[in-house]
Amino acid sequence: VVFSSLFFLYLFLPLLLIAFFLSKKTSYRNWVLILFSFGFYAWGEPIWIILLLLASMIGYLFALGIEKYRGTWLGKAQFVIAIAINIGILGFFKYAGFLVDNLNAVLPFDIPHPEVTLPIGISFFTFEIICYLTDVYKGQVVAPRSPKKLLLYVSFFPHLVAGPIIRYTDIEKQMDSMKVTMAEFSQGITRFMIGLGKKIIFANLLGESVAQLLNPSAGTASVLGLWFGICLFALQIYFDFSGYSDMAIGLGKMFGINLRENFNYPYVSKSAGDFWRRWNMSLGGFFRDYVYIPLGGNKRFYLRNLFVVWFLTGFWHGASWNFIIWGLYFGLLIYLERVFLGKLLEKLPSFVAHVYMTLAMLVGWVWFYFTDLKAAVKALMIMFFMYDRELWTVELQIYFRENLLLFVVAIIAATPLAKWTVGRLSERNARLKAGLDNYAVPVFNVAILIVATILLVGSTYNPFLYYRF
Amino acid sequence: MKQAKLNIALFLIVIFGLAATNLLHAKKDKVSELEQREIQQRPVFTVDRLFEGKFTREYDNFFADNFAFRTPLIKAGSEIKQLKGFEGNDGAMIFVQSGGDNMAVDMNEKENGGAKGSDTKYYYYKDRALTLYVYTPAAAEMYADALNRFKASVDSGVNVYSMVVPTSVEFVDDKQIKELSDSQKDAIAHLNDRLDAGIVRVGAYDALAKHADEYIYFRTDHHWTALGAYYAYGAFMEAAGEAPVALDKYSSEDIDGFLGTSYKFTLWDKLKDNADKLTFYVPFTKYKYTMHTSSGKALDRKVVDANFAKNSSTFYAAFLGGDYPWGEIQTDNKNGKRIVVVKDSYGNAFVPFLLPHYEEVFYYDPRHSKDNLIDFVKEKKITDVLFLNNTTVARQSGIAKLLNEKMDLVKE
Repeated sequence: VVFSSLFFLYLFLPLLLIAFFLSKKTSYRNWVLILFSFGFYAWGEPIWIILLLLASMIGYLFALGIEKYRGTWLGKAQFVIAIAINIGILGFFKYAGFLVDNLNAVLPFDIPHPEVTLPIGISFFTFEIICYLTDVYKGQVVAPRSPKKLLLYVSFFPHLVAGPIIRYTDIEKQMDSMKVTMAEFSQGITRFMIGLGKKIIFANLLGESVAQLLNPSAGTASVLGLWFGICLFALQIYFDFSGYSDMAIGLGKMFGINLRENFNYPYVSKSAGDFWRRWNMSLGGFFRDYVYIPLGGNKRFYLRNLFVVWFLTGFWHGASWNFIIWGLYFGLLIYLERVFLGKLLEKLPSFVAHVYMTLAMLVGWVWFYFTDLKAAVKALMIMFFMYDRELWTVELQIYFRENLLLFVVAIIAATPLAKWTVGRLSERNARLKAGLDNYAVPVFNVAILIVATILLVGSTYNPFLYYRF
Repeated sequence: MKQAKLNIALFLIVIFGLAATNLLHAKKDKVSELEQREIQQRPVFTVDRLFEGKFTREYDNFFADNFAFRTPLIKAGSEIKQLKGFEGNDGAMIFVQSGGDNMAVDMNEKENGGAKGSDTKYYYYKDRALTLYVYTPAAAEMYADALNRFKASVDSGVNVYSMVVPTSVEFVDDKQIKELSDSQKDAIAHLNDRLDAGIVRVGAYDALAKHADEYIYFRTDHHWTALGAYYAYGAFMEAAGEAPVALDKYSSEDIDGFLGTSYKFTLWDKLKDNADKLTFYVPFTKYKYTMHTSSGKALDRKVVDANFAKNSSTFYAAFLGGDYPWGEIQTDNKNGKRIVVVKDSYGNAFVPFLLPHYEEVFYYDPRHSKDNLIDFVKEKKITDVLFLNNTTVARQSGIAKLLNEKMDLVKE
């Protein structure tokens, strides 16, 4: 299930709200959330619910073992085995096909291609279990005696299928007292609506022309067409992903659980390093705390560590070479910034840094968008005038005009400008502030909900005009 | 606190209000008129279906298809979407219908030379929706080859004609559209070049071009009007060496308020202000028309009938009742001439004009027919064969492939 669906909004969520608020005791509330979370997962992946359960129980049992044999080789062995099992699960489901295809390309014989479908959310929940096991191993977390809290940590539906990647310590205490105040619930609603609007109004509408524009092999491809297409895609993926995180955080709040933040206006970044402190922050944090620093950080084997982390960051996004290139591309930028570029950018006016990072980010999205490397290279060549194509076409003109308003509003919405302006205005004018807080926010929220519902119904429009029935 | 209460109240009212409305909303519709498809019914629950993921998927569709106020909400959604930008000169807008064109059943992107041609782009111009044309030489060649193969496979005494009909976008005189849409004149010329010398080319293009200012295409539908079909019929008569019947010999009937496929795909509100008028011409020839359905039924009908339009989701069904695998029309002309029109839906508006000239008029739709085409020609003792398709055949290879398949069919 996704949050931005009619089924979720008008069936799942109402039922969950009733069940949750009718249960008064914390442990009932825990179980309501666990049951609904497994239901949420099972709705999209009926079979792989077994995998989710299995992975959670492995985490639970091994953590107890690690604690029991702490300080002995047995504790360490259990830690290693548990981590290996999790990486094994992820590796098998996500990377086996990719690995086999690449081996077949070099080997003289063919290994049959494994037909596995990728269970939803596997990249997230395996990482969360790894976090948990590591924290237990390091003694930062006391493993709970009952599996309930671990099940809730892993399966809690808001973060289950697309993050943020949370740590056990983030929600450990909150699970013990599941109280929600009116103010918190209201904040949760507002946050959810922001996310819903980002996803359904911005991301979905921005994405409508992307496939048309980002088609370098079409005769209609043009230099500016590809630039415009990649700008739309950059906005689409930001609103999509950060909208999803907002919805997750908002839903968490509605049920008394605070999830960590995941985005902080990434497109105002001034460097690649800055960008990754603002984009998918929970993933960056995971690789920093559980890979980069344990490997030695910037103290030992800096280059190796940098390479490993960015290789993995890219590879995590998908089992395909273009994602690896995308990750390493950011690794390279970060290295260059550390060696000289960062100092240089600091000396120059700040708009230069913004221009640099915006261009670097857009080129990055080209690698991210095209799983076919040939198409990516061709697109980049067209974009940088190295391929004979028109500067623009009549068709582009129409697409540009058709999307112009949305495009401009989306750019503004991707920056803190609106928030900042409203903040400044309400600082100066108390009555305005009261009006905004008391009426504008609730009305705005309900407006988003209604527009989003209309667009969601619209997206089910599926004319089937050429066959009789 | 004040904010929290109002915020929560509004949220809960909408969520629970709509959830309850939706629950109580009668789920009795079987088909969606606007979309011309069946509506997902409440799925059957079995454990197997659950684990295959079928149950949940169908339930999602069931929930969405039966959502309260669905049709008005869809229309509102399309209007909201149009707020994302501005129209160009003459209201120019493009709407992309991914997944392909109407006429052909199948299209493979690679065989058609990349992604080109696989999406249908609607272009709004002044008062109408046009389908932008993309020419694919390989598809045109494949179609010509299929016709050549047919010509070689039938008795040399059978006259074979080919008519390729341009679509409405071709005759709009606008510089911008000429840039966006490939020339259908060139496409037809290329296709004709490759046809066997023994196949008679029917110059529908020129006949239509002469009357480009008239109401020969619908504004909200991708088909031509009966008037357009009549001019093409004139060209066919010329090619066959006969005199066409004057249009004023026919009595005509009109159906107003036709919103066709282009409207249904794009839901462009402005098209509603220019709904089409569908005119059909009632034959004066005595005839008996039998349509043969996919399920093997033979039904006696009229060749043009306003009731068809009323009972179908598209008014264009007024011609022949819509697309059926094949049909036969017996007339009281005892001249021994039997024609089969191998056609897509453009043929539907055309076929009724043939009645004064033949003893029997058949049509055969390769998209739906299950009969071998060559056997069909032999069994029905056909004397004339007219291949009538629109220029999609020079864009996508679907029809050509189907023709080849129908010639390969082995009788069971």
